[in-house]
Amino acid sequence: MKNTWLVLRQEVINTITRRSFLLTAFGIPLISITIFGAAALFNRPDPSPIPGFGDPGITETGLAEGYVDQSGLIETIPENISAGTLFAYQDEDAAKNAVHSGEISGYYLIPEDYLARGQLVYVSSDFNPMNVFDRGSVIDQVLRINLLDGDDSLAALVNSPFALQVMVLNPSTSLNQDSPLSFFLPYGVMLLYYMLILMSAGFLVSSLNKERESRVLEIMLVTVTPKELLAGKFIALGLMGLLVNILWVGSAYGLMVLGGTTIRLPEEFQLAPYVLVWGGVFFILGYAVYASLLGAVGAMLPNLRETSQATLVVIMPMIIPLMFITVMIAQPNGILAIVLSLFPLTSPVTMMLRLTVTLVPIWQLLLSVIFLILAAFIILRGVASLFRAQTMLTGQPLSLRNIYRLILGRV
Amino acid sequence: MEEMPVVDVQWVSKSFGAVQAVKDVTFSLGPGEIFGLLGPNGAGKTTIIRLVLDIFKPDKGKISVLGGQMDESKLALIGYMPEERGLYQDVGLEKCLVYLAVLKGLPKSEARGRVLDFLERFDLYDYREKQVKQLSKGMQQKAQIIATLVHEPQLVIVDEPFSGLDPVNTKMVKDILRDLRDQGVAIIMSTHQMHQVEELCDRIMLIDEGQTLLYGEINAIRSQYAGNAILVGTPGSLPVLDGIVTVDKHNSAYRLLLTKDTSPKVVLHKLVAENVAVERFEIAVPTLDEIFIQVVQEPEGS
Repeated sequence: MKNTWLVLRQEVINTITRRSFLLTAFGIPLISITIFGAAALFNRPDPSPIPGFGDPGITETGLAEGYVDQSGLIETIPENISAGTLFAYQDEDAAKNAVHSGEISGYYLIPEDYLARGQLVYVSSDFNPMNVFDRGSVIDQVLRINLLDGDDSLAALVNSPFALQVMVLNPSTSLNQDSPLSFFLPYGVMLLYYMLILMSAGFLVSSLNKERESRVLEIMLVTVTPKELLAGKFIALGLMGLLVNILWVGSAYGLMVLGGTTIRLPEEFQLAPYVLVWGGVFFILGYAVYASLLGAVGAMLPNLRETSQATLVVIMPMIIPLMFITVMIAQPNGILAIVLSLFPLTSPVTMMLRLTVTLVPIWQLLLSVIFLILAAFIILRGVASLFRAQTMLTGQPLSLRNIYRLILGRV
Repeated sequence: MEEMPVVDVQWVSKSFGAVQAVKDVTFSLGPGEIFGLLGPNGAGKTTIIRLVLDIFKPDKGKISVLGGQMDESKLALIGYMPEERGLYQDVGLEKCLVYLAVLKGLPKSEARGRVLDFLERFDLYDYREKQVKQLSKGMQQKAQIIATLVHEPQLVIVDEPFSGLDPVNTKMVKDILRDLRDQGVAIIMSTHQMHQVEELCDRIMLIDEGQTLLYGEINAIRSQYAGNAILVGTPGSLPVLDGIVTVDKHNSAYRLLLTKDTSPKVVLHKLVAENVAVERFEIAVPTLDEIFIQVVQEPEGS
């Protein structure tokens, strides 16, 4: 036990003082914050709201425009369109002169047959690709209101026929159902779990390989038992993976706050405390399963190159939930989601996905945990035979035969 | 009463797949003894060491270490310097050595004190803050010796302990090994440097292809292989004689290697018969180098 603690402590010190770790843990968030922070500053939105139909008021966009109404349709200009935003011209010559003099950036020609064909012509001094998608919001509102005989409230309804409020009889999650961010949260949680489990397990594999390649392993194996060595590394590197993810999530939160004039993260990203508790359980068990499997690969294979190839095979089951994520978000209590959240190699990420979007029945949670514990126990016991000094020192080449023997625990 | 051996290996064999690495090897080693484990590259020396340390399990045979089967309680009583040196490269020298000493059971303060003493003794004190990877090969070798000895083990196993050391440090390491032997520590030394073996070891075992070729006290082995060569001192030149394989100049004398069926007495008679002025005539005791080459190159069954 004492040696396990000593290995654990040394592994933490070795890891957090390694330049590559510091770059991963702190460098990536710092670079992201710098880039996104700078982008947020440069792209700071205009303090005035973007003109939009149904907005309480439309003010000028900075690009005054004009129109020439040959159809006689325009009788009313909505009050919420600021003065200096849209100018009326009697004919095209006057409008063209205004464009040439820089008074307006362009004008809309509403032809006589507009009501029959619904076509407008926009005339501008030059082509600006950035304005293509913005163009038309003001004239759009003006035309709608005039098509509806100047009825503001009817025009607002035509623009947005309903405001949907979802009422759930059995509230299954504390997520804000109306927030578009709720859609991204399951993706985020799933991605976080991938990173959390794979990064921690990756640290373990890399540490074992490094120890073998630097030839310290032989010294360590006559100093501590293989199990003490691996237990120390197992716990230390799990914690390191957790630390990196906390730093990343923390910095992502910081980024949101930094650029978040429109995103109120805490309100909409609140997860119920029970989700966090289950999250801890599934992280520990998921890490136990995958770190054991990857640790076995690290212990068995002779170098980092072969280990990387084998790692891809081992983590393949974790990719499966990602392939069906859209289906599972749509049907979080469907058969597929239930099966994948019970199968131990896919359950850590799938269950977290379900927990963020629905209320998972307690029996499913418990069954999933039991299956995971059983799987972790069986895998750990099988893999323990690999954690012998001889296997760790000699290494086995990557071959189908060895993978088969690994699965059967006969290496 | 006979002293209990520190290491007792009885008829041990070990295979890796189809390769028989060690076959029916038997030897023992008592306290206060330096035992030489010799053999050409790939002979099975490292495998034998790993079998003794319980890194590898034998296919058959029995190994006893420090009075019984090897277990984790004995790890702290053993100092091992493998042929492939290994220390944590990115860690400071002192920290690395203290960590290994603490893992061997020393309290941290005592470990630190002993490490600093050793660093001074090995002229490494000024480099104690440096990362191990920044040290020269010789310095790393000295650091590895410190890691092997710092916890005062009862059994020391060193594989090529002098490689990479200059003559001054070689002498110091030899002195340390002799001191340890005098204190009752059992030492297994695997090396190719035969003169070091002759200087330090009490007994040796020579293995090749996993099998024991020679085992016993050095002097007994040398006597066993003596008689095949003689030293002849003469002011003139030597005539061509039958029964002589080679004639080499050896300091102020000639060293004559005799065929197996030629005795020194016959050669002396022939020299006298040829009127050679013989000033010196003695049996040449072979060096371990010669014995090594002879035994390893000897065809099987001869």
